[in-house]
Amino acid sequence: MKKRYALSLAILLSAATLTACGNNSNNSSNEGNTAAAGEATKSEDSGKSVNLKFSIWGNDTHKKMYEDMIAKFHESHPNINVEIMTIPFADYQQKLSIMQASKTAPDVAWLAERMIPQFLTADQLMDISEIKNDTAYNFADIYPSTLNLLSKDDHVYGIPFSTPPAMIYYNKTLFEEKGLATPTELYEQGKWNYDEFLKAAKALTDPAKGIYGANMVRNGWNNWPDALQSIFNAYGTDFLSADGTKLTLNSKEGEQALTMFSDMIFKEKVHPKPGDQTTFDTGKIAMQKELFSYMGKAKAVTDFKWDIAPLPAGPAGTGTTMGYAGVVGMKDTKHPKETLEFITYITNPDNMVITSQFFVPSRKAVLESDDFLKQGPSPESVKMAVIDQMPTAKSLPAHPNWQQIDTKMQSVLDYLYTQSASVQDVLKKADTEITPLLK
Amino acid sequence: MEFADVKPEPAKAVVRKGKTNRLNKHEKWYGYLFISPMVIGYVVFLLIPIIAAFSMSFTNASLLHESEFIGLGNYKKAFTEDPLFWQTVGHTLYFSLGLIPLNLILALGLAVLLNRKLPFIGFFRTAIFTPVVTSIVVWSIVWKYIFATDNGLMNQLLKLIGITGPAWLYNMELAMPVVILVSVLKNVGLNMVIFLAALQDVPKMYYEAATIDGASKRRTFFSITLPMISPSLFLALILTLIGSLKVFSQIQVMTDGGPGTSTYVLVYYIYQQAFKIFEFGYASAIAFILFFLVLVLTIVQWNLRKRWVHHEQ
Repeated sequence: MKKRYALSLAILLSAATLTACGNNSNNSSNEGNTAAAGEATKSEDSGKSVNLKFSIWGNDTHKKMYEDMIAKFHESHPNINVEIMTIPFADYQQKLSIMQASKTAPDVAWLAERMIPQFLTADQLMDISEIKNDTAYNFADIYPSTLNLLSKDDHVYGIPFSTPPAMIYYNKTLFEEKGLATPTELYEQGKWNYDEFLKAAKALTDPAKGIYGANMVRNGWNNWPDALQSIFNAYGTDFLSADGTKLTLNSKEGEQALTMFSDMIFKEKVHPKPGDQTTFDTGKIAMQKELFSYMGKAKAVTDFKWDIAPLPAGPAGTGTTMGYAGVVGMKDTKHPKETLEFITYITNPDNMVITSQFFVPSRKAVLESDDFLKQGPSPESVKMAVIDQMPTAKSLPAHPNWQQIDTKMQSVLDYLYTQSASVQDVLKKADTEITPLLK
Repeated sequence: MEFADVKPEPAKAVVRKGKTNRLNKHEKWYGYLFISPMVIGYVVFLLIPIIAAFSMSFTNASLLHESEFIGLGNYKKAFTEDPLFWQTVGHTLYFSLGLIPLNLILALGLAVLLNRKLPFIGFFRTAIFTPVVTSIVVWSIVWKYIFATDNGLMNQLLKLIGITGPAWLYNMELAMPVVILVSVLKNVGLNMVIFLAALQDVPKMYYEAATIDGASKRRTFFSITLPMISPSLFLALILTLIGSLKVFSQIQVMTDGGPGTSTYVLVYYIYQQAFKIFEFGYASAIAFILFFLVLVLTIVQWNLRKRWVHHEQ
């Protein structure tokens, strides 16, 4: 008896381990099957039930917004179920690349500018050009400049849904206390440049209270394009040449731009030091470079008054950069028709109005609507800091080899952040490390 | 079967033979069944991936292009063409050589201090052991905040006594020592417990004899305590060495390999090559270089053991 008991226990144990790993998929496919069965009885003529996966890096409020949208989509397309998958931005490109390699990639995905060339060059994105023929969709309404990254030889591979220009959020209370002219006033007088920006930053910095005049870093110190590209632009240089074959940063303009940034931190001490993650909503940052999507957080601030203004100008203009996110279909999807239907739906004119509560829309009609103007602190500020900047805003650098370039540039910039090398040496290092990756 | 040859008492042997054989047969299968969860898990999740990685180390496998067989190309690249690889090896050894003496000496000191009957001794032992059971990620995040440049606890404390603290984790020279210190504090409790157990096993009579002979405390420690606990010292040394060569989480969380490449260690470099820039082939090759490095060091230590370890059962 004892032996038999032991034997059955052993079998049970091994069976349990064997099935444990398979469990998840079994369960979900079971659910899928029952859901599919339910679907089939409900609407037999609308074809087979299809499950789509949709990956985003957004937060919970973004997810909720899409869930509501999907519920409506399901009403008109009862055979299509969409499941949202959230991946943190820092891991997004990495995770999506690996999922793509293991054939488990989602059907529909958000992609940021830095990720697009890698997937587009590897021919992993679905051609969705037929979206242009849909008259109700009104493709012509989308700003053509925002489509560049997602187009190749007249074919379209995705629809941009968020193209927010970078801007300055400033603590109005601090400006009033010191009796300084605000960025908005300076911009109106045509005097809003980096000299004035530094002057204000110096006046507002108060080490005793831990207040910094300016902060260009908004998304972690490793995200250098986000922090620095607009300064590069303002001084008249780019990171890479337009064809992506040369590092153009190692130039006189690049040196001026980096020197200005380095001086803000180490010489004038008006900018938080590397690694510091003080945020604007604590009231300890007088002027913060941020995107439109920060509006939700800013609106929750109650201890001080704030407003938004465009970025200051350098010798070559404001150099405003814009964030960029598009929605694409993966070429490997088993349901190309449904994928296209879903992309069409979430970026159509009506739904872009809904997404514009978080994302600066790429559709002209939505961007210029009164609804959008109401999303900021005041219609005037939104017009000045967002709409007026859109025509000249440039997207951040991108390259098929971006993951490698980014990793190298992060460690090269650390020589600046640790004051272990001069600006010239940092640029030389960048040249020797990055140029071989541009082949 | 081995009992079949037993001749002197054939009758008994036959009985035995039948019984043991049946028992053997059954027990063999029970045995396999009982170890099957472990064995299957080991084969599927460890052995097969290791073999796959070994074969991958001879290809240029990458997510971004088709993979080709390139023979020893990856190993050649690591040893002759990639200066960062050698830097990484250097940083790994720096970490190990910094961590091991500090960890072992501190652990031994603490064990000796806590090896007595004092009020609240249980509390002190627990306090020092607690970090060992804390998640390394949580531990690293907390210490990252403590060593933050301006608002970190460390620099705030230094400010109180009028010193402007450095940017600990944003300094090429300081980042690695800080990571070493944080790792020592995390793991010193484990070695302390091993030493404490060993200390309590040393027979009291040796100390009594030493006292009668008039040996000094120092002499007692070096001539009795150390030799008696040498097997534990050796065990702790091997475990700490292997653990330190595989350091990853602290680095990933606290410095992310930076500033610059000043805290790139081997496992971090493998991770970076494989999962950040998708060079699986090259990453596998480095993983196997690390594997052989650990293997060689362990064999060397194991052989040296004969000279160090005097008291082993």
